[in-house]
Amino acid sequence: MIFVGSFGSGKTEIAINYSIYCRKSYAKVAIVDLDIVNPYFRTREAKDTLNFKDIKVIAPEGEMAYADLPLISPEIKGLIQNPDYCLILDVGGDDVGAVVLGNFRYFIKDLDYEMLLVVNSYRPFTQSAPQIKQMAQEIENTSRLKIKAIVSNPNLSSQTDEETIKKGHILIKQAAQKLEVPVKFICIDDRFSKKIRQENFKEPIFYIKRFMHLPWN
Amino acid sequence: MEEKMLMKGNEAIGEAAIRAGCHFYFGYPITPQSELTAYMAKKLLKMKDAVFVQAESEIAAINMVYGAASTGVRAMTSSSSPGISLKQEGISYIACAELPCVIVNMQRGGPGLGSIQPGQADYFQATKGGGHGDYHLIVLAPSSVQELVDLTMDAFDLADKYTNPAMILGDGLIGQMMEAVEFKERKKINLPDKEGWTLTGCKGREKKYIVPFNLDPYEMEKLNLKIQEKYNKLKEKEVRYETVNLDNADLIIVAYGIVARIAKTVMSNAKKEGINIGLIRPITLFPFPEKIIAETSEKVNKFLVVEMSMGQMVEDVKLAVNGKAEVNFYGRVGGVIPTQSEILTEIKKYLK
Repeated sequence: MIFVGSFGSGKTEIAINYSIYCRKSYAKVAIVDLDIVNPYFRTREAKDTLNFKDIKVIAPEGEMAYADLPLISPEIKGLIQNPDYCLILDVGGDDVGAVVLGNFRYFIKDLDYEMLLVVNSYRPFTQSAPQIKQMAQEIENTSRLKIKAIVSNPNLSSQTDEETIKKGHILIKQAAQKLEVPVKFICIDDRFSKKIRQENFKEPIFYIKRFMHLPWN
Repeated sequence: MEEKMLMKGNEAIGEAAIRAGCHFYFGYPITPQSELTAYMAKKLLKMKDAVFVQAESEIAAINMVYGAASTGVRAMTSSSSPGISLKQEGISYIACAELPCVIVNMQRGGPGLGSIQPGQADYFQATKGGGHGDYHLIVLAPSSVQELVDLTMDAFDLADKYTNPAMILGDGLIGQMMEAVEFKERKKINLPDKEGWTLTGCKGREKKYIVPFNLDPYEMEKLNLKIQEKYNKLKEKEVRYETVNLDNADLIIVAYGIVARIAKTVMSNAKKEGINIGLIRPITLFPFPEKIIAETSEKVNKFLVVEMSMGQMVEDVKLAVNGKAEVNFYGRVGGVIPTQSEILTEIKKYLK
């Protein structure tokens, strides 16, 4: 499972949540922090929580965990080829972040992989169907892998309300149609889990718990 | 009204600058500020009559701003701590030449190359001049992404109004975090006409000069006095701050930027324990809100200054308090952010 998308679309939070979800059905789950774009708010910050849930986290270690260097662990190649593992790749934002994915293309392309494009229609550069299409094409061109489906993630962080989600999701569905790919699921913050139920949406709802916190929360 | 967007602090500055009419950006990437340079590249390169240059160095970038500002356009550069140090000569020249421009510093842990995590240890550099000679920047310190938008737009207005460089002093966290923002319609304000001094080609008119010197020491002294006059006016008219719960407070926290946000959570936690805390959050770091601090020190006798430094703004607080209250300090440095519980423990120490 590969999560790609524009910078700040929510890939990391979704990838973390998804790895926890996968651990329910797979004995061996690993998540790879392939983010060479962001200096803060990366998967590695949730490492202890994930390790506690018996999920392997591959990310730069020690003082290098705090660096902004394009560090890629040699372990990743082995994990990609290991059929025992359910592997989740959290890729850095935009086509720039997807460059690193192109590096592994040779090992990924013949596997049964699923590359998902995470879209938040409230982020700059993915606010309309044509913009989302352009982003998708740029990422496909750089990674030389195919996007299989869209993950709809319409939100304004703490200012999200039901209207935000509904409106954004409609736009994202239009973009998916244009790209001729399905919407795999819609992400909704779990604080809405009682208010927003499955019957409101055709696509499955994936409730998200936030792992990246600000120092005043 | 325009729709809200979810933006990173760095992107929000870029969008705010463009909407404030800044179509000339000269930058050099550095973590944790690079998204601003990237955003300007994405946007300005598609705009007619706009200029984006990724300069060969920070020094080059600030001097390009100097040149662009001489023509009267709104120009900006940005960096993070080590890069801002490199710009200091140019900033001093711009201040001496009395040109408006905006400089963004998303501070990181220092000194030296330091770390890429957030810091606030460039307070002295930002507020006391930074480069050589007697000058100040107008320094604005936002504490949310929305305030980054509003203050970036204000910074251009203030720079034009006082023909002086203005600085947005943020930190890595505010640059990297994402919050919902809106770009509201702004009230039109009257700004001084730039025509008198801008260099736009001297065909058919007298020559004009913009220079950062005067070889005659008496004339150079006059220029210094003229510039000082602007700082006095700034101190009189442009001071901004936020206060929370100053009445009946047992202790006043003074903090700016993201530390003030942590302080607000600390305040509500303290309240549950029966401790009454007040907050003064300077929004302009120069001019510094000394009056409100002085007034408050007449009523509350304990202050705690919290910074992501070894104690810089605390000196200005002590000057404002002038011995009338006890001023304590708590700081974390090198990229470490003070936690809510650390601050509360510190408060309790002084309220024993």
